[in-house]
Amino acid sequence: MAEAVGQWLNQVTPLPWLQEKSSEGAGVVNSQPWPTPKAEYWKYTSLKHIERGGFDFSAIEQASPVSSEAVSIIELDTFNLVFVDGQFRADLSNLDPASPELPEGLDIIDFAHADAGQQAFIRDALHSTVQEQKHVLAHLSVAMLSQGLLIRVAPETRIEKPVQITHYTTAQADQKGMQHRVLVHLGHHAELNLVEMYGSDDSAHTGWMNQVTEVIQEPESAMQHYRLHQEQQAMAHTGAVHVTLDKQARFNSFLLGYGGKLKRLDYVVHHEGPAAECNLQGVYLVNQRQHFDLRTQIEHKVPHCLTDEVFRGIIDDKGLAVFNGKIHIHKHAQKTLAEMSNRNLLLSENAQINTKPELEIYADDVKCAHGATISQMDSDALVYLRSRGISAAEAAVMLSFGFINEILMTIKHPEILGYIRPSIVRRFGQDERLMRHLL
Amino acid sequence: MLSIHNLEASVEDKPILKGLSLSVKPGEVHAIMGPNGSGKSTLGHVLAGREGYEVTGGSVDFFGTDLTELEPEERAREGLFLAFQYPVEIPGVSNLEFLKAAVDAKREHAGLEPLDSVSFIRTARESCQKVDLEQSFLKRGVNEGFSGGEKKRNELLQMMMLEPKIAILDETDSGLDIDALQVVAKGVNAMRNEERGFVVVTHYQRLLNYIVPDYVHVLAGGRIVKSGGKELALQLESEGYGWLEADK
Repeated sequence: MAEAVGQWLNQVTPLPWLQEKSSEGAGVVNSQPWPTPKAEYWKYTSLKHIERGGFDFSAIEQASPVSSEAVSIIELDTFNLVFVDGQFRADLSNLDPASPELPEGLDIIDFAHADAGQQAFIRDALHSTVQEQKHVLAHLSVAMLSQGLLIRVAPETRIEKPVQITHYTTAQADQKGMQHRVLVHLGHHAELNLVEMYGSDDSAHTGWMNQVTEVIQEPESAMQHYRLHQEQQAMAHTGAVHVTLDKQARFNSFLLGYGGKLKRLDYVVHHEGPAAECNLQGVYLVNQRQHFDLRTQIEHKVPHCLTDEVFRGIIDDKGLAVFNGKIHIHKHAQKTLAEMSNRNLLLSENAQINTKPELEIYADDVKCAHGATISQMDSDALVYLRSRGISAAEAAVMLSFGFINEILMTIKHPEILGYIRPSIVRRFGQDERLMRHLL
Repeated sequence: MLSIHNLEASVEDKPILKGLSLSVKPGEVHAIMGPNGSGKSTLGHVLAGREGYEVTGGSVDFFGTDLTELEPEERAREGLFLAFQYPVEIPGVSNLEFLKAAVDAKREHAGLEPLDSVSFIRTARESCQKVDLEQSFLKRGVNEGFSGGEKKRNELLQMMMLEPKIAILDETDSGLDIDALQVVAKGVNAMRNEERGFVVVTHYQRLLNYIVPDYVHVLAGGRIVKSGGKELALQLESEGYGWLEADK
């Protein structure tokens, strides 16, 4: 175990009524080898940066002056909960998770303000989706758990207005360690839209956030989830989304990931009831000397479930990206339909991608496909655009964007597409003129 | 307007064009016919400035400029248009964005302001109608999933929007059934005027029933071996290319 872990644990005071969970988590962290690239699961990502970074998890004393315009950039009407440098900001949120006013059937409550019934629920459900010891950072997160959010949708309740959780960092987050948990529970036939946003202001700040979102879906429930990572690049983020799906539950998720000093995201989805559906889509954009590591693990434990996974990445400069997607089809998971595709575009000679789609199949009546490609800019397409008068530089921007635009077109909320599209386009060119036909 | 003199060009060090000369004046339609491997497609690619096609001799003068010195995009902005034999599919880049970028680049080169979106979209829709493409094709990725005929009509759509001074149609008839061929020919004929020149490259005489040329040239072994009027195409159709090769 890294020495730093002991220090981090000393810096936080876990919620007393969750003491048992926290101790269990600490126990797992202490018993497991600390992740290093020697382990297959961490082959391309070293945690030295966070071990040695001297990150301090004690609370920030003075709140950063941040305007609500800076943090509420999506033109989407949401229940927005804003955290700045790891701390909840009532002044920037439109909801108070201490005593929220919410439509019937929707619960959003800060762990710290949970009543006895909610505490009992959290004690029971929290961390139940993290089923393997190898997720060391998720166990660390529960060991250090001092704050979190519970989001519950009652059975037969459809919540149209999305719930948004915004994490924003400023210069105050320099060398700060931050942690957060989200626990989502959807009752039978319930529906929820959830947007998790990660962003920063323009100041240079290091900082590390370790975050875990858990989603527990009862039969026939449906969730549309977005996780949008646009932190500035000196920030480190280790995050995970762990999901369990009961019978006929549907989980759709879109991921936008910009690279950073250290970024590692794990998606783990358990199909636990028959005919459940999981659709994961996403794009990652990694440049300069950024690092981005995405792991997905889908466990098909029961028959008739469906998984469709499509990720595309563009890597430029000296960026390094990792995609490791695993679909594990257990012995009894007959009639599984599973597809996984990962395509990557490399824009420079020093850009690197390590992609490994894996299918592990123990059932004999399933339909599965997977594929990964790594390519460079299509020279025929470039010639074609240039032959119509478009400059080589603008053509390159159009083609790079086009490579991921196909995935963006699947986004269901036009407001979210309208927000991330220009942000992505701007990643491809310094010169506004090269992007004018895409913006 | 376009004067090609003794043009020599190679692909991967293999000489393909071996002293080709051709002069096109405004308003003229020239057909270039020839057997497979004679260099027909190479001519189009060399004129458009495609990478990998190296000019090793001769000259190409386009309105007083040495065309071979220009980048492909500069040639297009100067008014040269190549309709591709195999238009490229570009998923993710919408046809409309692509057209707007092309039209704006050309207008900017001519010192004009970019078109505002509303008038641009109106023009694009009108052009769609002229080439018998549904407007939904504007929103789709460039040529993405288009049939052979739709791709050729999309080439024509681009040509209409870009209003070139000279258009080179590279085997535009290949892979088209008779109905599609007629649509394309109608579009080309609608664009014929006293100022615009056309070079129609084709293997078969069939297309020339619909796009009637002023001159027909036979390309063989990288050179033009015979030139004549439109009746030459008919002779080639009935007698094949063999008699010309025996003739040389």
